[in-house]
Amino acid sequence: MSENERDDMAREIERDPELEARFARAPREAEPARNLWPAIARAIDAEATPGRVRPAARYRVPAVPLRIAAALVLFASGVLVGQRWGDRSAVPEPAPEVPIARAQDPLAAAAEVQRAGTAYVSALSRLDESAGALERDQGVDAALSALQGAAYELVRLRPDDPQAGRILYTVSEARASEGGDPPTVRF
Amino acid sequence: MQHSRAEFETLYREHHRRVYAIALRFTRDPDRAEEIVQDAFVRVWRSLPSFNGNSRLSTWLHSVAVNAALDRVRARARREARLDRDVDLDRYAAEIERAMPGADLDLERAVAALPDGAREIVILHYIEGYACAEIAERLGIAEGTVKSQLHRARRLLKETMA
Repeated sequence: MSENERDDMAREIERDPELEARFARAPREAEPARNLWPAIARAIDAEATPGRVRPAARYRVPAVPLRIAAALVLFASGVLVGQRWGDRSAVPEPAPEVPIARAQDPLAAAAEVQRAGTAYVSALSRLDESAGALERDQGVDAALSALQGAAYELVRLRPDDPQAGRILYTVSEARASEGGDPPTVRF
Repeated sequence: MQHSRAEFETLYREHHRRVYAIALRFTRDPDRAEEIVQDAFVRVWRSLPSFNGNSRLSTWLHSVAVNAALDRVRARARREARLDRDVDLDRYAAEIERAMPGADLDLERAVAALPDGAREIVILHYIEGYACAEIAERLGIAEGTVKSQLHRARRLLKETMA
């Protein structure tokens, strides 16, 4: 007996014609007790038209890395500002141009950076929830620009700090890959 | 491929009974079956642009609907297993009687009483006409597992309907 014949016999043994006949007669359709179309129509009305191009992936992808980068920049900027104001107590320096540097309390500068950073991250969170593709794209572009501006400031504050340099490099690379322009928004 | 909402409603009117039947047998619960029908058609609407026309629209729609039903049934089963919730088979039988006039109630009850995995495979194979290899691929299990589940299910069905 060939292998195929053995398989055929095994299939025949496995088959149960009576059961198969009962299944063959089983209805394939059932009418729901209520009309489900109105709920479906409401759901699809809330969707974009099928076939419409969704927001470009290049702007949806960086949301998480952007937040991580933002957190890094904010953390580093907080540290750097703190260090700078710590240094100022030992060695007097000319007053910096930014408003935060005019504060009398050394902690006020870091607090100001912290507040601005929190507002920035909150704005990014809201951007992520935004329904409008155009608004989101514009918001992400502005966010990247602001992030790059912050990275520039970090490097300006600590020109010899390799971490600040790496942050600026990373953000600039991310911005370049998005086709971004030089920074237009600065803290 | 672009479809208007009016065309989509026609599609729904033509195919919703088939989707409801699948969902009802999978869930054994009319309320959940209705949810699955809604979910399946919203998925179909979203996926219409990806329909390439190589298969019949009804075949493709059926496939999307089965996937939606399986996803929902499995996600719900995981949650309800933790809650130890039972299925009301009398309510299910009453719905089968209402929604599928002429159905073999003994068979439907026997299928409904099968363990979850075996029930899904029996429905896909005997009612929806999927081959064992297709079921294995769809459920992400070995073809041998599908065959052994079918064998076990046949035995259980015979015992139940004896």
